[in-house]
Amino acid sequence: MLLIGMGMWACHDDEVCGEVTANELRMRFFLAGQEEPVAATIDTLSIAGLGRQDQPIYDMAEDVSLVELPLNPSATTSAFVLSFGRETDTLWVTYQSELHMISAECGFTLFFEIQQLEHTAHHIVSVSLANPYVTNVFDDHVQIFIPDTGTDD
Amino acid sequence: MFLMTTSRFLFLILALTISHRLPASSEPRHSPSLRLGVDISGIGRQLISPESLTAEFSADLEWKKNFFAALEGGWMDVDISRETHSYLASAYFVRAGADFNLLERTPETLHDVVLISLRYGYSNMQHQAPRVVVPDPYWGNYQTSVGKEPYHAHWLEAGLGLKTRVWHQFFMGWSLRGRLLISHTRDPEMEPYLIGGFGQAGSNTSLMLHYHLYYRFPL
Repeated sequence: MLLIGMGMWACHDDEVCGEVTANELRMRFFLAGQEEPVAATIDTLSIAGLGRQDQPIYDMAEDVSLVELPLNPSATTSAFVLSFGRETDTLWVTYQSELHMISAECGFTLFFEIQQLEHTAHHIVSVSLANPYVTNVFDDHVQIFIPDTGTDD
Repeated sequence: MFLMTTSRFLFLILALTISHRLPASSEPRHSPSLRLGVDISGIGRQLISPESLTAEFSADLEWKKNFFAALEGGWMDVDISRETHSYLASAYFVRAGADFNLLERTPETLHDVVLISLRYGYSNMQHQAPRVVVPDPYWGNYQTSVGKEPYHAHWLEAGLGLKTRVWHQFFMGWSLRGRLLISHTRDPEMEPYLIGGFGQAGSNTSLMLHYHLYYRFPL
């Protein structure tokens, strides 16, 4: 009986750090000018933090419809440079962050609340905030609308 | 098969209850008593989880035959240190309620009991995270800390257990407790790892097995 009881306690401590500690901004691409949302796929896409183009997050990634980007935990704005082949745009994401404890084993993470989106418009037509809360729930947060060039789906 | 097993189980409970209600021909006279106990399961828990230490004591008073007033209390300390964080917590807790004995008493097992328990529990905690590192391989790690914060929790619990005499007035026993958190401090920044007296945090329910050693004082 003692062993059973100790085992019950041990189950609590067999915690696996399955939850991600880095909660990333999820952005999905759509075709602009459609009555209903139509998903878009980018043939070739590179993304890097502004000022950190030497360390791309996505480097010439192919057939991209969704990207996940880390928000800078030490700042309230993160800027990303998105390169769609020959055209390049910059996206600024402004947010507030809150510290959350995942567990004693896994430690802490940051949840974000997106407050503002700004972008240049060389290739991007518009952006939309689908869900401002960037947490450990895998929701899409930002929709990026790009022109239908005929080569994108 | 399941129905048969369930029926047998229900029949046993019913038989136990009826036998309890029927006066035994040699039913001993009720004598009030106070039983003090220490929870030894905390020692086993610390062997498995050395970062938390819980000490717990109990007292029960049989004020009426088969009815016990029960009081349990103790403290808990948690000290966790990892590469990315350190976490400290200390708590005092109390559980108060009543036990009801289901077991028919005979002169041979006069003070052995099989108990149904009901409790209200309260925990008063303070916890802090003196060192927090949120890893970020792209932008760089974020370092911060969380100062000492109060945390309170209230819960209800029900359980089943037994106490049996092992030598003179010394008793041993175990109890299985199911707990339901009814109220606690809401802090989105930091929830405790363990709630003193309740068990693992992060869920509104908890199940825990306790082992006790008791000494009985006849009154």
